[in-house]
Amino acid sequence: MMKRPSLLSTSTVNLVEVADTTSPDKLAVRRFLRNPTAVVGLVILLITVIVSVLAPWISPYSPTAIDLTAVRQPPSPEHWLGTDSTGRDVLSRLLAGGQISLLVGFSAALMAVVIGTLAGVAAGWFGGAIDTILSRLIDIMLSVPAVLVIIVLAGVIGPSVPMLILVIALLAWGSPARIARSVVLSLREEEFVQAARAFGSRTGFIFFRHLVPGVLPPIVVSATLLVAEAVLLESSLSFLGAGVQPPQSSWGNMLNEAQSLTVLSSMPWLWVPPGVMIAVTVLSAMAVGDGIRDAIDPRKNN
Amino acid sequence: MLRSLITRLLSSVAVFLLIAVGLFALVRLAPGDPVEMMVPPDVLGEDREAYTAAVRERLGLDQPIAVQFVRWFGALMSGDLGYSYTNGQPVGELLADRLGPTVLLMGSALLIGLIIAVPAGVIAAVRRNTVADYAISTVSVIAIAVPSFFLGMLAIYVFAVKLHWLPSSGMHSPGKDDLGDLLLHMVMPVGLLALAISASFIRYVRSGVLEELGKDYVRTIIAKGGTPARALRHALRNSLMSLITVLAMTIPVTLSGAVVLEQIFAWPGMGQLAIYALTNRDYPILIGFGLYIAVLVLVCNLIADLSYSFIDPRVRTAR
Repeated sequence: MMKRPSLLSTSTVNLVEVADTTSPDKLAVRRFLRNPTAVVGLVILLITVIVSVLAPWISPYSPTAIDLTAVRQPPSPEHWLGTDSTGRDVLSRLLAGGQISLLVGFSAALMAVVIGTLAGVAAGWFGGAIDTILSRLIDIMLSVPAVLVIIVLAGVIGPSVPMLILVIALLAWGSPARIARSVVLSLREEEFVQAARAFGSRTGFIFFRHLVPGVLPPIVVSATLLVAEAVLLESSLSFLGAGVQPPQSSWGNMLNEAQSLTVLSSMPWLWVPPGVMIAVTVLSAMAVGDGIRDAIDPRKNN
Repeated sequence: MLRSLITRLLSSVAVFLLIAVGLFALVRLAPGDPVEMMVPPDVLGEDREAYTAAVRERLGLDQPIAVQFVRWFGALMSGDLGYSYTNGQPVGELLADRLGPTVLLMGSALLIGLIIAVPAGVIAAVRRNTVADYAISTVSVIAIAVPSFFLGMLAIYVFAVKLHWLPSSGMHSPGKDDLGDLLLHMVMPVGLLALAISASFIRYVRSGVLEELGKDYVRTIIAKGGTPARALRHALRNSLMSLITVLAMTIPVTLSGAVVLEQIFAWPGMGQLAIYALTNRDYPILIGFGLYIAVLVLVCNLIADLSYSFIDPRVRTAR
């Protein structure tokens, strides 16, 4: 009984290697690369990630270094994007802010996807009461406004980045779960899954050998869109004062600090760059997500 | 039908109770003592302790936690949400004062958003893969990706600072109380919220209509000599059902968008009050706000569920 699953798995791996040149994965990658919007999105997203990761080494100043002799200066060769109301370098703050925004975006999306996949697979596979309860929970989760929940939590517990990540993930797992559930509902009727069951495979084995890999492609799409969503959420919350707290910078709270009419009308270098960065990051993540979706399911595109 | 209605109603009440317990526990377990903040800093030593004890007693915080909860919940059921820590006003009144502006903002934005989204989504679906479809989809993607507070700041910059066409904040100009003044103040916040709502709604309308148009009965209508308009009419009716569920899913967009826009445009609604409570750590207001969101979300879900079963006879009889 114990041997059989491993025999099966080795044979599957060999099959994939033989069919290397035209495997569905390779075809999908090729289709993705032929989609200009998706490729541009991927490139911009990669650049943003790399620059943000390297921020501590490449930023010209410390993002929190106050210089009261150079307050609210317009862009200049010393300060490419000028300085803010306490003389901090806007470019350095933009880079540091990107780090936080992307950290929140990626970790929240990853957590949401892990929870969502497991919950969705369980709901689809077991059905019955488990499915009913999980589906009901997903419905409710999808209609809960995360921004407002975090405002209440931040007001009571105090705002923090880990709380932000955790709450965004706990409220966002509904959409990957719904996708995983619907894929598993059709997967469970497939012959190879039926065969695994007939062999007496353990549920855990079927889960991680057959079901999870089966739901992964659509889940990857959902994950990319969740990154976009989480970056947007983080920036909205930081803008409202419920997210990343100053002096630590984030794209959202940089816009918050620029809310006065004087800054708005005469110091665009303080609020345009972070706003543009949020929009560009979210747009590229969405473009990548859409690109992957079209690449793995070409029928939907036409 | 009646049975499913009662089950739904009961489960909503149960969820609401859970949320109430959770919110209460949250405040009582939160770090930091809110009472300390209410004692003037110049009161020191024994005087300070006496003052603190007096405040504690006034707020009922000297009782055991279970007693506090029962008391609090009893008061809640009679519509008493406690008093604001920072200005002593009843939370229920504070929230009620803010309800009008928020309802005005969200209601008009929702209405305008739907009036834009439904035709736009139908056009995008019927004229699939044409310039019209791409234009509508692009605008909606951009409206989703660009955060509303950034759009709001851009709008203020263009329409208030540069062009002087629209007021940049508030509901009324000082000394003016007429409808025209109110409408002018509404243009930017309502317009941006309507844009956010329609941007997410258009995608659902488009895919909902596309799904219906691909079904057999549409082909049958065309095959029997029916006009495309006739087929579309049938498809629209059938996609209406999924749209009602989607409407429940636009609650988060509407509520979150309203809070952000109220903050930018100094719109005196509940969102602005919540942000005030957040910065001042005013727990009673936050709890009241939390309960209000919970009720709103549960009621909207309930309405969506029920209308679903009213519209679709299959769902009606199946349960």
